[in-house]
Formats: sequence, C-alpha cells, structure tokens
Amino acid sequence: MLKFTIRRLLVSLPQLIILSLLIFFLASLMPGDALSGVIDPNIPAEAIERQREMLGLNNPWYIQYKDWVINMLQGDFGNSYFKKQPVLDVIGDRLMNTVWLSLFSAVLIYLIGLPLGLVSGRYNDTFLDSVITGYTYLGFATPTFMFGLLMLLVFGYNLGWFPTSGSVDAKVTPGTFEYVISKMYHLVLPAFSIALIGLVGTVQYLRSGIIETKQKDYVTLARAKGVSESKVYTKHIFRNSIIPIAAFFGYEITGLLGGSIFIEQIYAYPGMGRLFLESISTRDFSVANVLILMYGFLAIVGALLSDIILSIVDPRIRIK
Amino acid sequence: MTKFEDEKRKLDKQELNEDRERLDKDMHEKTHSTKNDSFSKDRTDATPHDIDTHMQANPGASGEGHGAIDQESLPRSTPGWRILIQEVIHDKLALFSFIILVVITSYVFGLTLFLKQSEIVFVDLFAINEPPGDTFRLGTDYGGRDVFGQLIIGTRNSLAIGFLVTGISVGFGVVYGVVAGYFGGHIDNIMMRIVDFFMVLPFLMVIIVYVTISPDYDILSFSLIMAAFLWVGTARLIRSVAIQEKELDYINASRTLGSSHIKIIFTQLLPNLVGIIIVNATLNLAGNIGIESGLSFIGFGFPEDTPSLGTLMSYATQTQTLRHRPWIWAPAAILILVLMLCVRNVGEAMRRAGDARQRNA
Repeated sequence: MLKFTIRRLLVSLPQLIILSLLIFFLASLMPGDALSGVIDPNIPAEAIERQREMLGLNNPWYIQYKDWVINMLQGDFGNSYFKKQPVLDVIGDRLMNTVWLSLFSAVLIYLIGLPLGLVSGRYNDTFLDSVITGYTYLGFATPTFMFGLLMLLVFGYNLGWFPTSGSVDAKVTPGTFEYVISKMYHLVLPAFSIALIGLVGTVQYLRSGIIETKQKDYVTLARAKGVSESKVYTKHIFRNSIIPIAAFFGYEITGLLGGSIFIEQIYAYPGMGRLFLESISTRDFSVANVLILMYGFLAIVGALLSDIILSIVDPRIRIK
Repeated sequence: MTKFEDEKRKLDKQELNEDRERLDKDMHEKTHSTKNDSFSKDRTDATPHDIDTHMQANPGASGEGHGAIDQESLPRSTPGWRILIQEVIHDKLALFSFIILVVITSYVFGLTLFLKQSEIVFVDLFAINEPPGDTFRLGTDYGGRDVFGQLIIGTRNSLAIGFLVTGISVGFGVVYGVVAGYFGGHIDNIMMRIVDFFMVLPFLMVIIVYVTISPDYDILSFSLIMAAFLWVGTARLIRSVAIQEKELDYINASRTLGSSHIKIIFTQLLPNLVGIIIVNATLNLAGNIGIESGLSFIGFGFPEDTPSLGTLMSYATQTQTLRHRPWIWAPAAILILVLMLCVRNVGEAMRRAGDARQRNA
C-alpha cells in the first residue's frame, strides 16, 4: 500500500515540474512583468533598466525559472499587476468559495446520483428506469452553462426563491449563524445546477455496473443462502458496482473545481473561476498564471487521489 | 529482466485491464439491460446465420483435393462501417436524429451561401431589441442585428468548428494511440506519460489565455488550439483497443509473412478499428460543439462579428435579455440542445453496434 502510494507520488512529481515549466513559458508569452503598472512614466529609462537588473528580469530563462519556483515554494506568488497586492491576497477567500461550491456539488451528485443509479439498475427495464435513463440522455446533451441559465431564470428570477448573484448577503456579519445560513442559501442554486447535470455519468456507471454484477455467481449464491433481497443489493451488489465510481472520485472533484467557471460566471459567484475570467479581462496575468498553476496542481492531486482510492477498493492494483 | 522492469510491465498490464474494463463498460453501458430480455433471442437469431455462412464456405469450393479453401468464394464478413449504418437505420430514433442533423446541416450551409455575414452583423441602432415580427423573423439583438441570420450563421460556424476540431483531434489521437498500442514497451510507456500529462492540464484556461494573448485568431487556429488538448481521450481509447487487437492472429500472420510495421498498421490494424473510431468521433463531435459554445458563451470563443450559437447564448448573461427578451437566446439554446441530442443519439446507436450482443439490426 505504502509502496504503491510512494511509487505513484514519484510519477506525479515530473508532471508537476513540466506543468510549472509550461506555465512559466506561457507567462513569458503574456504581456507585462513584475514592473508593469508600478512604473511612473517620468522615471528615466536607465533607472528602469537598473530596476530590471536588480529584480533579475534580464537573467536567462532558467535562472528566472529557478527564482520563480523558489519564491513560490516560500509562499511568494508575486503581485497582482492590476490590484497591486500580493496574488495570494487577491485569491484569498475566492479559493474557499470555490471549494465550498465544489464540495456541496459533489455531495449532491453522490446523494442524488447513487440512489438513482441503484434504482435504475435494480429495476431495469421498468417505467422508472426508462424515466431515469431518459434523464441521463438529456443530461448528457445539455451543456452546464445552459442548464445554469435556465435554473437562474426559473428559480432565481421568475419564482424568486433563491438569490441570483454573490456568495453571501452583504448585510450579515461574518462569524454569525446568519452568515453561514446566507452562504448556504447562496450556494443552493449554483450547486444544484452543477450537480443535476454532473450526476448523469455517475448514474450511468452505477446502473450498468449493477446490471452486470446482478448476474454474477456470488450474487446467486447469496440468494441461495437466503440473504434478503435488500441485503443482496446493499451488501453484495452495490459494494462491487461502486468500485469504478469510487475510483473516479478524485477526477470528479478536480472536474468540479475546474468546471465551475461557467456556473460562477452565470451566478456572479465570487470564486476562483470568476476571478480567473476577471483577471484575464483586466489583463492581470500574474493572477491568471497562479490560478492556472493551482488548477493544474489540483488536477494532479485529484489523479493521485483517484489512483490511491482505486488501490484501496481494488487490491488487485497494488499486488505485484 | 530487472525487477523494476518486471514491476513496470505488471503495472502496465493492470492499466490495460483497467482500460479494457472501462471500454467494455462504455460499450455495454446503454442498452445492456434492455437487451437482457431479448438476449436469448439475439443469440438464436445469430446462430443460424453463422451456420449458414459456414455451410456456404466449406463444400463446393474446397473440392480441389488438398482440402484447400478457395479464397474467392469465402464469405466476406460485413465491414464495420456497414454494421454501424445498419444499426442506425434499424434504430428509428437514431435514424430520425440523423435525418434532422442532415436537414439542419444542409439547410444552414445552403442558406449561408446567400447570406452575407457582414450584412447580418451590421449594427442598426434604429432596430434595437425588436421582438419577432414582419421585418425580422426572430427579432433583433441589442445591436439591432437580425437574430435569425445570426442563428443561421452561428449554427454554421458552430458546426464547422465542431467538425474541424473533431477531425483534427480524432485524426491525431488515432495515429498516436495506434502507434503507442501497436509498438508497446518503452515507446508506449513514454507516449502514455505524455498523455497523462495532458489529462491534468486545465485546458479551458489555457485556451482562454491563448484567445486573449493571440492578436489574430481565426476558425483554423482556434480549432487547432482546441484540438491540441482534446486528442488525448481518443488516443487512450484507441491505444487500449490496439493493444487487444495486435495480439490477434492476423497481425502475427502478417508479421510472419514479412509485412512492414507501417503496412500492418495502415492496411490491417486501422481498418479493423474503423468502427470504434467513427463512434468515438461522433460522440466527440457532440462534446466539442458543447465546449465551443461554452467558450463563446463566456466570451472567449469567436469575436462578435463571427457569431456562433454560444455567442447568441452569451447575450443572455445580461439580466434584462435573459428575463424579457427570450427571442434572442432561446432559439440558439434549443438548437444547441437539438444538435447535441441528435449527434449523441446517432453515436449511441453506433456504439451499441460495436457490441454484437446488443445489436438490433
């Protein structure tokens, strides 16, 4: 187990290095550097040049890359060209907002998706099953942003049940109970928009998994032993059908984090995705770079997590 | 062989098994259940047919004395693409979807021959936000531009980019996957590590950055940058199939007879993968149209003077338009949905055709 994890970690390391290299070069293609926005136009050119030399901006790329990596490892991600404050401060609670949104969506996906898949697999070819299958068909064809717009229009504007933008009510003070409630209330609509479309894959996987497992010999054996039908499903079939879904958990989380760009934009939800779009449109590339790096890092961690989970639920993977 | 190499090979095998499982699952996914009941029926349907062909093949032709089989009179197996077509024709929903697709595509591409893009995106301040009426069949947007014309041009652009991106990414992915799967060993190892790396890239963001910093981009360069990230799925799928396929006797026979690797790959391996490639391309097409419209929706697809379906949808980000002027975005939304559903229906039907047990035709 430990051995597998370490080996898997070693695979991630080069990925991380290549990712950082790629983003470093992407950054060098982008206009602007650490002096952008802070230069007074009256300063003579030689002074600027001296400043550049001091900051190491004239060094060859590999030295700049080394400095950049070392700075980041020390927690210095540079300054925002636009807001003139450290990038980490700009990202600040945007990160937590996105994490909350993704977690809430993930919980909803499994909370709704697993029962649907279970029912649809257990009672396959019934009316209920065809309703659920029809829903997954539609869900696969609907882009998330379109569904989000529809939800916003119906539940946000026409019915007026939920707030249409922001992550928290401006009037409540942080730390109080009302604050938490307000945050949750703002999460409901975006999270459901993500989850109701995002769960179709889970439903389909579980459904086909259960239908396949149903015919296995050990299920027949369990029935022959006199295990009750509901126990056959919960204890014997479900556990074995859930393996691929459990293994996809890490990818699912990263997918949610990255895919929230559209939904955050539609609901004007102040998360990382929206921050990314904002920083791109204000040409604040220092922030955008760090965000891409963070998303890439999260994706690597997600893949790692998935593989480790897979090795836990399916021991065949880690046995040599 | 060193211990390390041994381990590595085993890991790869596991990976392959995983891929296989995943692939199998993909194949079975949809109609496995519906077919469970008719499973036995399918079987009995299939058996007499099989016997039939064998009967034709054996006697008569092999009367030469050595018991040799006359190659000419051997029944040819139905080619993969024909099975796909049969399945789609048999599945009424898929056939209906396909007809809708053809009608929309030919209508849109035909009509754009007569419509001028510059006229349609011409800003007319005297006709801002007009509801559908006599002059403008589907009304106008905030710039006084005809929504109907934009819808037609937009559908054309969305479809064109969908086809282009799918063509490039699937084409590259297939070659990459076949090479990795066919040669295996170290080549496969290195190639798959590259794929793994692409899998974890936040590609939407990289595309957005590209669109922002590149001074002039057109349909071709936009498709290329999208395809640069979207080939990995195809490559993985094709590799796992190629690994299974290359173990089969016909490849070995061909090797023994001295065919070159290139000849085997292109004249023997690839033709046997055509079915899977077509299915993969169709399902990717739906996904790619969705990604493009999503990018245009948040304003990082095409510029406004080259409308796509996503551009029309993006007008709905203004609250007033979303709430009170549905004629601007609703037709585009419906069209995207219809296109995606139709493409997927056809793709799913063809995917079923990939598994003999699930075939209807």
